[in-house]
Amino acid sequence: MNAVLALSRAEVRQLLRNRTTAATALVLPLVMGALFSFTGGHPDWTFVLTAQLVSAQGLTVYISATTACAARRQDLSLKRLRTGELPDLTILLGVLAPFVVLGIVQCLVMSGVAFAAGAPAPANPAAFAIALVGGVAVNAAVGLLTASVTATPEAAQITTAPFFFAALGGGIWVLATDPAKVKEYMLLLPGGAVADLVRGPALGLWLPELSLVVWTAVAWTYGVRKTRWDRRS
Amino acid sequence: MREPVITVQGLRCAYGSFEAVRGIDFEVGQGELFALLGTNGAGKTTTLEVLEGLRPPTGGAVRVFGLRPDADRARIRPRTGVLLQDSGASGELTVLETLRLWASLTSRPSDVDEALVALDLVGKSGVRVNRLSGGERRRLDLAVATLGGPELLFLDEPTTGLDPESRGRTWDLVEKLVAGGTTVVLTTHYLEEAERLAHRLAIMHEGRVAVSGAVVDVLAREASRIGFDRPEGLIAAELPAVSGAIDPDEFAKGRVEIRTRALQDDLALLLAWAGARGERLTRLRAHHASLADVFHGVRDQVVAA
Repeated sequence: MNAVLALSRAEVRQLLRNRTTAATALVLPLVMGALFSFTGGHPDWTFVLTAQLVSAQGLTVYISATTACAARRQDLSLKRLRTGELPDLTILLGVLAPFVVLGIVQCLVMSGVAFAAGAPAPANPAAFAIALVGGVAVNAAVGLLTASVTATPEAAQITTAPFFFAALGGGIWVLATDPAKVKEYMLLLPGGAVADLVRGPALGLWLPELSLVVWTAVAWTYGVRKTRWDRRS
Repeated sequence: MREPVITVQGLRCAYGSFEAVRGIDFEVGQGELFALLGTNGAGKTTTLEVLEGLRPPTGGAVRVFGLRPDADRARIRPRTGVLLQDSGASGELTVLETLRLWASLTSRPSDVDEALVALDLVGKSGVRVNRLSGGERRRLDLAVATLGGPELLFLDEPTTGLDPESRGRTWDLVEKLVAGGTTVVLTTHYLEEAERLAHRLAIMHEGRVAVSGAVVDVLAREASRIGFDRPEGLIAAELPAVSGAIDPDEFAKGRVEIRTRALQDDLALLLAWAGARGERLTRLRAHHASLADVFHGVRDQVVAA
């Protein structure tokens, strides 16, 4: 645990000292969250909350974690760490942990702002909590997996696009569908599952929950297995 | 040789269809400094990465402390230190932050302040790694590699990019570690470095070990050299009957180069001959074989084959 904390501290320092990464991870999600909350008129609060969660999870957790893993591989930090005493899993947790914590904090801050601005309290708080934590977990795991096919930190801008937009699109798809007409397959995409949980699960809690668990488990398993520790040659 | 810390038997390692290491054998004894030399692409770094547990072998058997480096990393790592060919230190962290991070990830770290002093990095402790010079960065790498007081230290080109003074200081540090009982495996392109530091060595070429043994034995196998510029108008028959062989190609180019196993006798003969003729032997050089000679010999043999 101490090793994970030490690595996380180092990762946060590096995050804060790199303006591009810091802006993507810290500022952009908050700006987007604020835009969603204060668009004037009578906002669709379910849409606002879903968009805030999905964008924070996507930008702060998914894209930032993918970029960080690719950057650490590119500057050979991962390989260097692997020459030390830490097991592989601890190294990966140490690199990813700050983005997970940051993602959860941002989701809480933006949701708090939305509730303060007039959003009604979630009808199903447990479902909302699962959407928040489960969405972060999925994005961290898929970030690790995506990093294995991302040669450089710059390439992360391209490799992260499909999943990020699929997650966002899945959320919009569910929100655009009447709750009575939501089908099981709509919840297969993580964004769809998060949106369904935020609005109040249309087909029960277990289905979107299962979707998030399966996404996390599969992405984490393959992500760990496929992790590249050295630069691509 | 002392009790082996590393045993390599028939090691093979391939990248796809390219076999970088093609069946090599060697042992490294406890407290020994073993140099792994070779041309670029000879397979040195791949071999080192297998020993470090960073890469599984595709064939053969490798044991470090009697354990398999790829499968028993958790038991081997606390006893080893690794300096990679490329730094791997995070550029955004300062020198002190880097050392403190590594100290917190090491089970028996030595004092960070002492490490800063030992590697002459005190004045750079607050500087970010990406603002260090190549030499300073290399010293930081060495500080990180030795922070845990390793029993076995892997040094992959530790002095590349260092100025002569820093290189000398690094050699002193490595010698001190070896004197303290640390086993060191070193790869380097500086042959004088290996000649000065190593007890034993292996020279790799195209994935195979071409020459191996104790440094003194390897050097003893190679003939000594005497050389001087050919005096104007001299023909080979006028030279005294030295026991060594005169290189005809060099002679044709205007230089007398003699490979001999009787350096002192042949040199005395030549000096007496030159004295009797009143010749001044310009650019006269006489020396025992160096690792560079052995190294070039390996390369020439392969080219000839």
